[in-house]
Amino acid sequence: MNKVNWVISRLLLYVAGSALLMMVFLVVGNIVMRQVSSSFGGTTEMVGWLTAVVVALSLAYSQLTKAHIELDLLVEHLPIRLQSVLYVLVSGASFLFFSMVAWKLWEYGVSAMQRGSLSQTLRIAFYPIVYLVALGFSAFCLVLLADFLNSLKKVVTQ
Amino acid sequence: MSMTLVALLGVLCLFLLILLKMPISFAMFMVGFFGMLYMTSPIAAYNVISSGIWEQLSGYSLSVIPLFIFMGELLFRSGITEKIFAAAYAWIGHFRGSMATTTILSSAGFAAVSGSNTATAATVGTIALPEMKKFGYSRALSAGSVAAGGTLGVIIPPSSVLIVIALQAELAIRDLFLASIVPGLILVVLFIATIGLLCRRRPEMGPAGVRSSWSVRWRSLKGIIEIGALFTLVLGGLFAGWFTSTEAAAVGCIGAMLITLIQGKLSWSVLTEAIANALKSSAMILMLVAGAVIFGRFLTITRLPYMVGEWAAALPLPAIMVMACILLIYVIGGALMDAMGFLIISIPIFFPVALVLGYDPIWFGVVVCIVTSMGAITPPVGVNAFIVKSLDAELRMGETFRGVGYFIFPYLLCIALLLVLPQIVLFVL
Repeated sequence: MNKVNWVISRLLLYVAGSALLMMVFLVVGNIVMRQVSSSFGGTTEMVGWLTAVVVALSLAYSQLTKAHIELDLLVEHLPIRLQSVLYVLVSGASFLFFSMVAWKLWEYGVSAMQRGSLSQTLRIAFYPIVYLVALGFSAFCLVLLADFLNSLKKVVTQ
Repeated sequence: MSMTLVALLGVLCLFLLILLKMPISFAMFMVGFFGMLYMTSPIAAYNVISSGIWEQLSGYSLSVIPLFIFMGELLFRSGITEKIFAAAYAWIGHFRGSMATTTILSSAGFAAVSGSNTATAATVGTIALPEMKKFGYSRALSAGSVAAGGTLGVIIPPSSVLIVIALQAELAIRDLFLASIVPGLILVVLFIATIGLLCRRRPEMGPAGVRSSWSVRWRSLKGIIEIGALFTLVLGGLFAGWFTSTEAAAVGCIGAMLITLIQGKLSWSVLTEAIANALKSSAMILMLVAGAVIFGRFLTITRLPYMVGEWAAALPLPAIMVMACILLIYVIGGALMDAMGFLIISIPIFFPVALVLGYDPIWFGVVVCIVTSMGAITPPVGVNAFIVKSLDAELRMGETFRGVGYFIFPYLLCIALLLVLPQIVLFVL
């Protein structure tokens, strides 16, 4: 499972990286266009979408590399076994909660597709981007699940 | 159950989860969601974690964060810091303690194009620590100057912490950047004065180096033209109103790519590494921002921030004393927790209090940024102290914390100055 997560998170990271570069060139391109003729009207909307893609598709990698800020102050002074038990609880709760978030995001994407919701400026359907964000959160949940299973295994073997 | 009790229970649960080592952003998401579920309706709570998250993450204003981080990550790998260090040393290397002073000036220079304290400490430390060792500097002073200099990364704009404060408190990023320049420079001067005083009392702490000729000094400036140009373009463009903050950051990314290319350091692996690190940090920060919005909505419904504000305003104490107490909480919070994490949790609570007390929101944003940045060098968290320690295997943790201890007083002096004379921050606006 860890290997699968690593492959998925790297793949999504490549897409997120491409979105970041697209964002850079889109914004700078818009500045140039503004000087030459007129600016591209949908820049604000597209940059927002690219930001959502950048963040959501990087979540799995950031969890794999333990980038999220935690406070070590209390737990590091507890016995190792208790630390492991606490980690099982924390990772389990995180997995359950963000699974619900991912599920709700998929639902939101489906409802945006069914209602035919269009974006405000470009007047195009934005549900594919919501699906990408939901996909990012789903991959993030897979990493959280792996964390939970690994910590559970650790507690059992200790 | 009264709204106040629900809010206090929510805050208590948040701290409990954080103490149990749950990532701060996850804890804010959960407490915010369940608080909303209790206070409003299941539909409203589910909306917050579906359409709410989508609207948060797809907002244009957040795009500035990954872009500025990407710019800093590229410059971190561009090799420009060596040139800043060499230039600073050419000009002041013949004074006692000059290497430590050079470290502070290089940190300020790097901070002017990077928004991270850890990146600044790691980049400057990699060059400065071996140089100071070569010149026989006190290990404590060497470690302290690198760690304290690193904190300038989040005080001198562009700064990821200032951007997050601006987003949280709905302030203009441009105004916060502009207002933080003078306090950043005051801190630089106070750090240099501290090094000067230490080396005057104990010259063996920082022996003087050789005096460079004027031709060497002028030639050294050539190496920092790129960084000066990038700083002028990015922040000058932002302050002059040519660019929005997102545009300034995107222009900065292109500039950073060009500088890295000119320095001959732009390879495929450098680019992918810079992108991967920028994405990792961006995901972490934007999850904090999204979690804080959900938690903030819950607190707003309970009216806790307003009640705390009204309570603080009704205290039979002068406003400056109440503000000093709030800043003390930030000092403690910053020492216990990562600056970004503590700011995100505390701003929804204390920002309305500052407004009720009559303080300017920009002033408050800049001051809390400085106060919590001090946490990067104070135990027990002191992230910069740990970074410096990791750069030199011979350094002991005790020496590192003794070294950063020299720089706590200038920090406190700077904060006291800003508290007594808020105009220092506000006159530029």
